[in-house]
Amino acid sequence: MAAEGVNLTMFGAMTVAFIIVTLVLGWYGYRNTRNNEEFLLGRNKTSPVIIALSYGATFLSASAVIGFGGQAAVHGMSLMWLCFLNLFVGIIVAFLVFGKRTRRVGRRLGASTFADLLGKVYDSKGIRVFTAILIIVMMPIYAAAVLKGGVNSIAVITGLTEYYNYILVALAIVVGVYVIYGGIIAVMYNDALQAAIMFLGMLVILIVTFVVLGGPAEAGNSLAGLWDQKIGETNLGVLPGFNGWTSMSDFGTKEWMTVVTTFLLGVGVGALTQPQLTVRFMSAKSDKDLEKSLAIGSVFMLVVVGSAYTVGALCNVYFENEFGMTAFQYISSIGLGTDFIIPQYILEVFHGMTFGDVFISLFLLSLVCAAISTISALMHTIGGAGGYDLYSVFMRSKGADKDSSDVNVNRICIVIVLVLVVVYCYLMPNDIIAKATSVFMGMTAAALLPAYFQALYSKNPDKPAALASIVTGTVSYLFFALFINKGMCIFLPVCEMLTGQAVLYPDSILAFLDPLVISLPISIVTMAVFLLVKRARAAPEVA
Amino acid sequence: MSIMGISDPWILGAYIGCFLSVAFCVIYGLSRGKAVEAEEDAEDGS
Repeated sequence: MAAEGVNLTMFGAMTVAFIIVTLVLGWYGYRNTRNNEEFLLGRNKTSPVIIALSYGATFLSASAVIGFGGQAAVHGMSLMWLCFLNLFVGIIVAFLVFGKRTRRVGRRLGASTFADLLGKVYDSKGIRVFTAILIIVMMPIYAAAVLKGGVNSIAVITGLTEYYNYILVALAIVVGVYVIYGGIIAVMYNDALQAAIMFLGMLVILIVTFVVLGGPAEAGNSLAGLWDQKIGETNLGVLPGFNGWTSMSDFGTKEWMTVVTTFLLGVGVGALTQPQLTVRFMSAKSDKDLEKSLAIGSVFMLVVVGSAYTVGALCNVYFENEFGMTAFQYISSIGLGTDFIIPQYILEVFHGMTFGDVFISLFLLSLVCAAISTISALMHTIGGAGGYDLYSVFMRSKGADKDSSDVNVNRICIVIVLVLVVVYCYLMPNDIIAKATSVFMGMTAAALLPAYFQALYSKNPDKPAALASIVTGTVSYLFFALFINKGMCIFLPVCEMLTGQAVLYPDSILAFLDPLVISLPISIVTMAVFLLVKRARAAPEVA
Repeated sequence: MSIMGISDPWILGAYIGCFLSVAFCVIYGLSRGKAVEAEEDAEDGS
């Protein structure tokens, strides 16, 4: 029988304390936000610790813990490659190859947002507008998925599923209040607070999992042996090619395609072009601060992500010991989906334990923090894209000679999009967090990564090459997402409307290939061709 | 070879890669802090 919800008095007390601190930090941000630049960047007011924790909390969030933790329960420890990519690409490459240059170029050009940065480097209103529109259109999908993940966790762990709608609106209001009033300063300080709670929560659950399962060695051996018991069963939630929870799947199979191309590459590479993360670089006072952030950010990421994926995989042993089922089988048996595995596991494993309610409350709070930190950063970025980038271009077309400095326009944009995000939460399907994350990150990488790289490293950035790369990356990604990939087409079933079937080749291996694997190379090759043609044309003139 | 019940080199490689990445970040991040500060002071002065 499934465990009942957490002690609401305990959780309520911890939540009230958390909300008070959150609002105080929001007030601090409000007091320190005098103009639009401070709303967008909070430049020179953020320490390395704040940058590192804010970057980590924004990057990982509910998506990593709830979404990908649940995927680790189904697909096993192969998800640890995502932890490695998060560290290597999302921290080392992002900070050292992109971060320092972004800070310097952003400061030199006076850029306040990611779209503003690209627009100013290429001296292109089109690139700025396109990037802002991409953010406004695609980011709410990701924001809604993360919000849904947070609300689902609260509803399951508290047992208050009948109050789902109230929880959803309350969570959206908490995010809205401090983003709207506090700007980036409130967002980053709250991120740091939430990161600390996440760090503590994940460390506790990792230790408890090892203790409950008899230690790391016993837990690992049990998980390896579980596959021998379950091999041949069909209701495990995996695809052909799966080899157990402690093994990598067979190369080129449907399981491998899904895990490697969608979960690992989509998010692993896509982390480089996240507008909400690049503003963290632009917020840094100096390169030294970014260097220091590297150390703190990596430890934070290893503990949070590594714990989530390891616990996700190992919880299969717990569910097998307690209920004779794998995590996926158990969660399916109580009518829930993959995104509920981690919250349900927390509820079960701490049930009846001394101070169990304290730990459950702590973990639930860390899940809520994980959701809030990402949503707040996304809403802040969306507000900047609409209220600063698009509005500035619009005002300049009306004769204004500088970018908008009106913070209130950003705030209005955030309110409008937040309402849309809440509405979208009701419309989107279940078990969507990992896929929505992958779609947003993959799309931005395919469209913007080559142009972003050129913007930072070319002495003479070429606008036509950047535009061509952005257009081909976007179009090819959309085509493969809407017409070829089985997992992505659920967001907008255009193919089904046109052809009557979900994707063009449903039985082909292509249906499991993430669009990023096709569209990013197309985007890179397009840029390379344009640059080579430009160089070839310039050569005779030089000669 | 099996470490904590895991014998697949791909999975072990992922864990080892994670720990090496963190070790690099901590050592590099802390050691570069002062060097970068000196470079920036020099840039500001020029």
